[in-house]
Amino acid sequence: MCGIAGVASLDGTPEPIERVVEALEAMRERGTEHGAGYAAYSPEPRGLVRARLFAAGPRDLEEAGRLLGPLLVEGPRLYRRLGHGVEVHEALLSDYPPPAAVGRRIWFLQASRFLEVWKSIGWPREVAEAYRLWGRSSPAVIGHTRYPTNSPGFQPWLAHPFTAGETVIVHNGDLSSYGANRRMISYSLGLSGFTGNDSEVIAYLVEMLYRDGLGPADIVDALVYGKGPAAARLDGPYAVIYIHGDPRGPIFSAFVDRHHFRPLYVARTETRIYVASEAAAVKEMAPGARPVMLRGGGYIVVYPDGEVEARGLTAWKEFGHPPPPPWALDASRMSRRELNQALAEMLARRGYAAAYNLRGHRYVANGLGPGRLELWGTVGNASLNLAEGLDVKIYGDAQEDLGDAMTDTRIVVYGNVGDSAGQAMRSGELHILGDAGNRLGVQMKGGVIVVRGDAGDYLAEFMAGGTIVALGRVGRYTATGMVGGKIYIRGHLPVSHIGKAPPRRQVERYIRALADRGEITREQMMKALAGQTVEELLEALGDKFRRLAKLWGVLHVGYPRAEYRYLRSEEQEELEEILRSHVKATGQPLDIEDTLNHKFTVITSVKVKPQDEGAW
Amino acid sequence: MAARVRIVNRYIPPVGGLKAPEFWDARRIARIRAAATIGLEKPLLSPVARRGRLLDRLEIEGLRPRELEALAEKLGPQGIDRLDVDVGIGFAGVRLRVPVYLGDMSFGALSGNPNIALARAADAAGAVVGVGEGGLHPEVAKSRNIVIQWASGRFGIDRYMLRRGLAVNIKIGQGAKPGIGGHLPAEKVTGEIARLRKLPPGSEALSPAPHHDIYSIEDLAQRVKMLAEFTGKPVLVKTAATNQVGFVAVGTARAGAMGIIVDGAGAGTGATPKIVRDHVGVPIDYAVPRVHDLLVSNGVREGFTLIAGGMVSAAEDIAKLVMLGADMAMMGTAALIAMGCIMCHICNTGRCPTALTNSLQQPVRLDVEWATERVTTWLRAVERSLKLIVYALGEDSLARLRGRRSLLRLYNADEAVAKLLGVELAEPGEVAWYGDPHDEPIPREVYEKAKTPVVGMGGVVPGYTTPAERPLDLLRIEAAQVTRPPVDPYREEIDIATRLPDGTVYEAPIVVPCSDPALVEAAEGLGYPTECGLLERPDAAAVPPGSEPPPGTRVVIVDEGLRGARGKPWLEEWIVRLDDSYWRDGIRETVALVALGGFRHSADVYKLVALGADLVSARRSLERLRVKLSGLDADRRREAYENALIELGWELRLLMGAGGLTSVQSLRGNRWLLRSLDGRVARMLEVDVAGY
Repeated sequence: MCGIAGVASLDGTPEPIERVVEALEAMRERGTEHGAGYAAYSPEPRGLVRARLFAAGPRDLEEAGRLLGPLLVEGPRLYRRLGHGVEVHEALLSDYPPPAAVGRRIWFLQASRFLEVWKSIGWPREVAEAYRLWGRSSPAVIGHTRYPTNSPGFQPWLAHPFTAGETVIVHNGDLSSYGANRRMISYSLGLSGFTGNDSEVIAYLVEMLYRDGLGPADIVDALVYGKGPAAARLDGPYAVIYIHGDPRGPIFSAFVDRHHFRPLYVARTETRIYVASEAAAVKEMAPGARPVMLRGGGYIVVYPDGEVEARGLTAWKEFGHPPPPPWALDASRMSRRELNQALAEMLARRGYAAAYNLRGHRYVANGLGPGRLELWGTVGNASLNLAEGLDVKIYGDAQEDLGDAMTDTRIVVYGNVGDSAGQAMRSGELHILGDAGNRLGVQMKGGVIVVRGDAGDYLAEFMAGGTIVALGRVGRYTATGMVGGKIYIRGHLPVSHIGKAPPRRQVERYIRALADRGEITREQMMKALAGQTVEELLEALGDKFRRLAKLWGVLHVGYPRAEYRYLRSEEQEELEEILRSHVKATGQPLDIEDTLNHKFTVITSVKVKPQDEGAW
Repeated sequence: MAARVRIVNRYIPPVGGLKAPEFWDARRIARIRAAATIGLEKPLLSPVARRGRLLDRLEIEGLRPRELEALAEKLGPQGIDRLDVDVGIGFAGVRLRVPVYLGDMSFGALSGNPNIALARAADAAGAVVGVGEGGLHPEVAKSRNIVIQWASGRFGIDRYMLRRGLAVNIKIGQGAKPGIGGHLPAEKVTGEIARLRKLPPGSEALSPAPHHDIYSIEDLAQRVKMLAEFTGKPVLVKTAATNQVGFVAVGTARAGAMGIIVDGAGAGTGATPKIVRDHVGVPIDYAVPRVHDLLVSNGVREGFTLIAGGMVSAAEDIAKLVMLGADMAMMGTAALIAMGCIMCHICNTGRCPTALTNSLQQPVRLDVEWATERVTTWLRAVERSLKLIVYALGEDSLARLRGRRSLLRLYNADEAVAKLLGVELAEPGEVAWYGDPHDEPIPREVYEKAKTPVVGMGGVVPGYTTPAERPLDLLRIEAAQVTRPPVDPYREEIDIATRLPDGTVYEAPIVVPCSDPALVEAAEGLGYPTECGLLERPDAAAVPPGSEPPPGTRVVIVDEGLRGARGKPWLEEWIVRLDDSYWRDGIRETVALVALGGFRHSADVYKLVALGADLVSARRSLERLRVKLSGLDADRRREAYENALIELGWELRLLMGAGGLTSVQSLRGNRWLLRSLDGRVARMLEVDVAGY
């Protein structure tokens, strides 16, 4: 639950930890004063294990002395006082403490040769101050601001980051797999005590997998795609950034769950990779850099030698922006309330409002309209919701949930949009020149969306009405649960990316069983096995499809039917009108005639009526 | 040819009588009807029960039922009204006379006239009513004490409507179906309903299981703040009672919401998959104490309203919930009963005989005046009972009883449950209520159409409001609410394919008995494992619960049929022991653990897999189906079996999706997803007690 941020150096030069503090402070909305923390790559000079632990009284120290005694080289000594009677003590050890020591009444902040971890109760800045982190720097830094949900918010050891050996993680999310992960860890490592915070298991899993010899990409395969030990698979929402300490330097990595339930944005400069939960926070660390999204199931790794490996990053694209008018509001010094109030007043007074330097301000212009609105910068989450009759231009990116339930509103985004843009929009237009996140147009009820760049997974999920035109690439599970409206995707979208189907293995097995029993002919079988879509199977199997259809479950409510073909004349007319309006609204040239002559994947919603005849 | 419309303006006999095992039995219905007629609840206090809800096993110390009745008799309604006792509560800027939030029943779920009656009664009696997700009925809009709902489908929402009413309620989930979305079929989206929901007539109205902008607590906080700033009104959050709900409440309070509605298991609904209603989420009496405690310990209790719902039937329930830590109660089913509901559980069909949940095509209408009068009178009765209880305890306001658990004594429960409640245990016993197996017939829609059974209304929590058959029944399945999103199995992928250590892949962890060749064929066609197929494997061995398999066995089959189901240890207990020992020995990943027993549905499969089994037989339901189908030819039997097996798969996915699980890989051994209503069962099966 929370906001996370990190930075990795590509040339080995250190980055001030303060950079991450600023990124977290820019995401205060994601956190509370109930916990924050940092970790950095920082080898212990003599190669010893630097153990730091929380102590809330002399008994804790005695216990620690007893547990660590045999390994003790130096200390323990007081490292920091955190207030409320909690202190952090440091001991230098000759080796890692036994797992049994970890989490038995004593909570370790860390026990590592290459890492340092600082965490406590408080806002990010307060925690950085408590540990006197100003002026410190490292080639790899991560940080976390906490909005607690599955454990109390007043115990410092429940703050992030969480460490296990040479792995330290920050996590935004809540694991539904927690019980299974924990069980495996407790038996594999002989661990008995857990904090109860689900995030902790990720640190243990990553560390275990490194010890098993896996590399960062294999670890993503195991955790995200379930290709390792069964109980190592993570389920539920997660965005994770971690550092793994290695003698050669830090391995810095970030990954996101396959559904993209949690966002991560990435920016790359000559010498750095920046990662954070919000685009605005990335821009806080790297003002000139352009943040892009890390898609569901994607990851990025920075190796000790500065090599970068990534999967699922959206493209880096630049868009020209005109300068704001001289009378426009400078949002950089305004709170979101001040900004919204000023915009509302401007709209009421002159029907035209403008603001620049938006830094992730949320709820921008919600419920406003009619009128004309222009925005420069990064528009924060849940903006332009319930807008009515607005004509909007956004010169920059917009984060999650733009235009929710809007009516008669036209939005042009000269940049990227985050997840769930256009959710439940009733009418109006949404034009996106860059890329869109997941669930663009989810449960859209009417109006038009045009996306020039790429769209993520679950495009038009639950779509009930309106038209979506996607001119770039489109992700998986497109139009799943669609019950109305129409989607035009330029080019070919494979059947495997449309809707949701039962496992192919099971479908084929069932078709073969039908043939084995003589219920269908061999010809029918071959045809059905070659068929991919509901229509093809229906054609091959005829009435027998009725039985197979139950594996889909809701074909009678509606499912997406896709055709890859040239547009029909009435479709060309519809699309031409939309694209003309798009070019007019955006001012971005597009060869409309050429586009209309492309082949499209045209998706509509149809139903398979349940048939009542037959055996029953 | 307009059909003659029948006007409903009187009570008709309830369906169940006392024999139907459910919470809303004839006794409770009679009590509400009497209250709605004469303005006094009779009896005021029920005797402490040996089974049923914890609320029923709780006694309020110092209250003697007879004395209270005598006091009521002496004072009479007017006398009670004159008592200088305040049972009201401040709510979103108004003062309510009675701390009751009438549950969020939409126009569409109810047929219009009941919505009007509820809204008018709320104004008249000083309660508040949530309008549900269905747009704002123009007659309801005239009432003052209404709460607007912001739900996942955004139906009917616009910037004007949101600013009506006293407050806005973000509906995350409900007790009757935690983690499950909604679907109003196209044929019901007509006329006024379509117009108010702002949908084209004849379109399918889907409400996603999660809000697709709320996948975490910080997302919820974002929406709370957005709606608060947008409407200028207080914001409520409504969520089903889960084990994590206390933390959700704290997060909700920190976001600046005015309160949280926690809706417990057994709560009413227009339609819910039966399997979810019966097994997901926790009852409200388990949830409230911990929510209150966590709010207090995190310093956010004051000024935050905790509204408790789910099988709340009378003033004495409200008083006990307040003593456990709530501020007010949500009541839905009770209000429907006051308007004539007979508990026939067919709300989902649109053919409600009492004109409450009927589709508008049906030629029956509820008499608005009559219904308004009934609900108003009933609310007045609840207010009077509360006044009497508070008065008899020597206090002058209900608010002063909040969190006063020292006034409660718990009977016939165990220490662990008493500790959860923070209440003195007056008489030890067990929560679990075991009884004879109550075999329900397999509905036709299961074996004819592979459709998951859907029912209306709540009132069923196995082992709690109805008898349990075995310890497994006392386990509640966790749902995802707020901290992570539930997953809709029909639109998003939930992988139930199960891989054994040797690489064999089955399409479901559901084992099929070999009692009919047609059944085996059905299983093989779908890729489900069969009992005989597993037994034939050279590395397999079958043992009864309590016995160790020979060393080196790779497919360990524990079959309670080898011994008789009711001996000790229970099969579920033995699965837990074996799973533990294989983990301890470091061989868990090389062994497949198979539980063969008299299991009835996918909730059993879910629970056993979460306890540690790889594969589980649904032996009993399929055996019953075999008996039912005997006499039919093999083809028809096979098709019926196929449907039943496919349906079991959907049920399993529904339960997993409700908890935000997308793969059976993450379910196996995930005991964190289970909680026990009974302390002894919790220890036996190594899970926590519900509410933690």
